[in-house]
Amino acid sequence: MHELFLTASVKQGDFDTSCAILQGLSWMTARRTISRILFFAGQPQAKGLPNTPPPGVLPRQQEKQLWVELSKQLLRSSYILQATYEVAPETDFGKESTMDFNRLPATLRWTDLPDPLRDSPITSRKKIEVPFPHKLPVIMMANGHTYTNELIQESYSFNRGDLEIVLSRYYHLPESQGRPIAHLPAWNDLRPVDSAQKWVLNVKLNVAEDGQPEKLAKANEELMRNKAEFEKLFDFKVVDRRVFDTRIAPPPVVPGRGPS
Amino acid sequence: MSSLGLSPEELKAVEQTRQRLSQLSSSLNSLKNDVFISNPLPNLDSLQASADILNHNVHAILEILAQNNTLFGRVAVHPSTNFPGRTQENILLQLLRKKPEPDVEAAMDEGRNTLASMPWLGQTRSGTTTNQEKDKENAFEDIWGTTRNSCQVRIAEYVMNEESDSFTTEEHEFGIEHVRTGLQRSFDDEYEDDDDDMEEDEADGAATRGNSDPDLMIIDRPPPPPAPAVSTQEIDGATLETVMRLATRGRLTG
Repeated sequence: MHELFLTASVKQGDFDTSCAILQGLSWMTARRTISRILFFAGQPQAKGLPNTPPPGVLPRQQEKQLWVELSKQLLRSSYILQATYEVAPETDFGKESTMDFNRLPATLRWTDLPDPLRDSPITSRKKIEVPFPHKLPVIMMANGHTYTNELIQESYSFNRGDLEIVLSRYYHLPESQGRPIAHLPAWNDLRPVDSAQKWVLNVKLNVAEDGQPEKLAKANEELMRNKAEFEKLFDFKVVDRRVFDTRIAPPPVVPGRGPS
Repeated sequence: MSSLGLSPEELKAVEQTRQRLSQLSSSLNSLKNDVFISNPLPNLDSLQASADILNHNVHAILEILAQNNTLFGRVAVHPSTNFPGRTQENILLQLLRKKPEPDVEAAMDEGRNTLASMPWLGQTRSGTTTNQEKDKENAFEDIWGTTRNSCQVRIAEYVMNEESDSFTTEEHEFGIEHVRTGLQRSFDDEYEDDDDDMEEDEADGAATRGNSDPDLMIIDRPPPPPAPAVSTQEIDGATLETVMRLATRGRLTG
């Protein structure tokens, strides 16, 4: 799948107005989602995903195919992948309970380095999202990926036709020696990534088919049309594609020894 | 059905119109009920949703009417011969009525009047300005005329008396000899020098310009460096790039 999106920054003070305007444009109230994102890093040497998940984990053909495709991408280079768990401020934060990541459903998310689009405000990149009913961390570790860090994402999203409009901001979680923290702190004690509490606005379009440049061009056009409408309200930025680089640098090649 | 003289397609168009009208009518009724019954009024979302539905209904009707314009132009409605016209006269008259009912007509007139009194429509109707509008125009002209006159008087005063004055009223009050111009030489010499320079320039060309008396500036002191605790990042927060990079990789290093 390919995703194309525009990026803008929205000040905390402008958030309510932005939501009101977006509600008017999309004729829907914002959907609020809180996600706990665990980051997993592959080995420096790209090895793909050698261990296929047991048949019970990915029962449907569709998801198995996504897994195979992801494995192919991870043979080219190692990447940082995201495992996203949906959480709720009322039930998951500031409580004694611990999330058992191997029992909860999660989405494994991979995004490639965006396509080079010079001076275009649109970021366009490949992505693969595999829904896992359970056992995601165990499977990632069995495939040589290690947990590195975690973040909380708070987002408000709107839909208008195929267009997805998302306002999101991120929070740090306290350090916890090489594994996700056992008890999430209370929602109000979270430390924002951005001290000014700004929101990141993304206006997104997905293209389901890979390798169809004419569909990409069409989506690109549609997004630019939407930009013309939205840019009276938001200041879209051209973001360097290296900002979205998820690749892990390969190990340095020692001369004389050759690749191991 | 054959007595109607309509083909099946034409009949279908009539039937479709009937269905759409009935949908519109029921949507309107449900909105009316919502507004009457709920206290406080229905929330914005539900009003928006109702407006959306009504818009959709009206759009569908317009579409059908546009498609079958010629058909509906020639179709005439009359009661069937076996209709009990005497006993059911009231309902028959209602069904065959071509003009809107009095209360509907009143509502339509009201709507038209509202539309006509919208300001942007009023402007486009040239030649029909009433006395009232003329009065309004005159009042505006008076206001703007007075404003223009007083602006002109003030501009004239500025050009005659104040334009050549290099100091502000505040500086005059404190005494112009105390004013810090940032220049080493006295401020009054400036004009004479300038005049000389200009004459020289005219005589000698640009070669000698600026060599004799460089305009030295005395800067009070360099602006203080921002206090370490209050860096710009604390005020503006992290940059968009930093946030996106962190959201992409989970952390900024490694």
